[in-house]
Amino acid sequence: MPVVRRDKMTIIADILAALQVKNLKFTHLLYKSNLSHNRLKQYLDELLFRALVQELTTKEGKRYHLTDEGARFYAEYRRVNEFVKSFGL
Amino acid sequence: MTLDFYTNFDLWVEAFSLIIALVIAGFSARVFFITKQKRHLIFSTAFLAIAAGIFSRVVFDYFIAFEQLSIPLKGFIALSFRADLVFLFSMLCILTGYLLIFIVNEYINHVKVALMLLLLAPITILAAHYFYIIYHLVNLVLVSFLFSHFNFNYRKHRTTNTLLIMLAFAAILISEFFFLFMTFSSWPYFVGNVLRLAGFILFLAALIRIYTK
Repeated sequence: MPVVRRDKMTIIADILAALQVKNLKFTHLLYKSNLSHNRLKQYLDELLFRALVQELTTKEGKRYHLTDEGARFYAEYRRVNEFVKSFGL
Repeated sequence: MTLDFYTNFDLWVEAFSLIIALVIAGFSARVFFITKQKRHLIFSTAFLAIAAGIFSRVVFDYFIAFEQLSIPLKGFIALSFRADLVFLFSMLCILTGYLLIFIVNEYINHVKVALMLLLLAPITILAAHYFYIIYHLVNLVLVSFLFSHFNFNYRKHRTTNTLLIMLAFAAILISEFFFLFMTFSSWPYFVGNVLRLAGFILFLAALIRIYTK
């Protein structure tokens, strides 16, 4: 089976898509994003830096939450992706 | 050339198509600023060229309605626009737009090859002066290749948006076929314009679906 390598934008979109459904713990995000521990940590650090994702401390532990900015970014990404796909670019 | 009931109405049809072409150009430019991929910029330029061509047609339709327009420049020089030059410019822009879309679709990265293809536009327009059938024949061939690409794109993705885009280019392709016969009768001109309008309405439908996704 051929290995499909995702580009950076696709990986970020996958992470944001997972968080759009509900706030997730790091391990849940690991399974959803299909990344290694270190790589997911790198991406989350960048997303936290860009305020697209927020870290919440709850009774159950640390969870990641999609910010309004993150939701807007993800919506824009979906529109761009759909435009590119529709016009075969 | 046009039917009595369609006179002046074609101006509004062209204006609507102009707005759609500008929206597509703007969206593609926005995609370029996000992705930094040159092909999106070329695609935006293609639809800008098509928009410029349609705008010229709007001006041309205006001349048909009001014959000639003189614009005094600084009170000393009166400039008369020749309607036929406006029409030629329109054809050049639209053909260039289609060629740019072809270049993007076929992933033509070699600058010399792309330039050679783009030079076909002015050569075709020179040959098509007073023989507009040549222009529509070249468009027919070119748009058939574009349709082929978007048909393949639809079969690859099988989404409603790709179907709408494919049908839009199908409508434009069939319109170019009808334009071949407009020198013999006015009805092909009317039918061709209706089909082209239908194509742009399909573009609008796709854009609305993309934006509201």
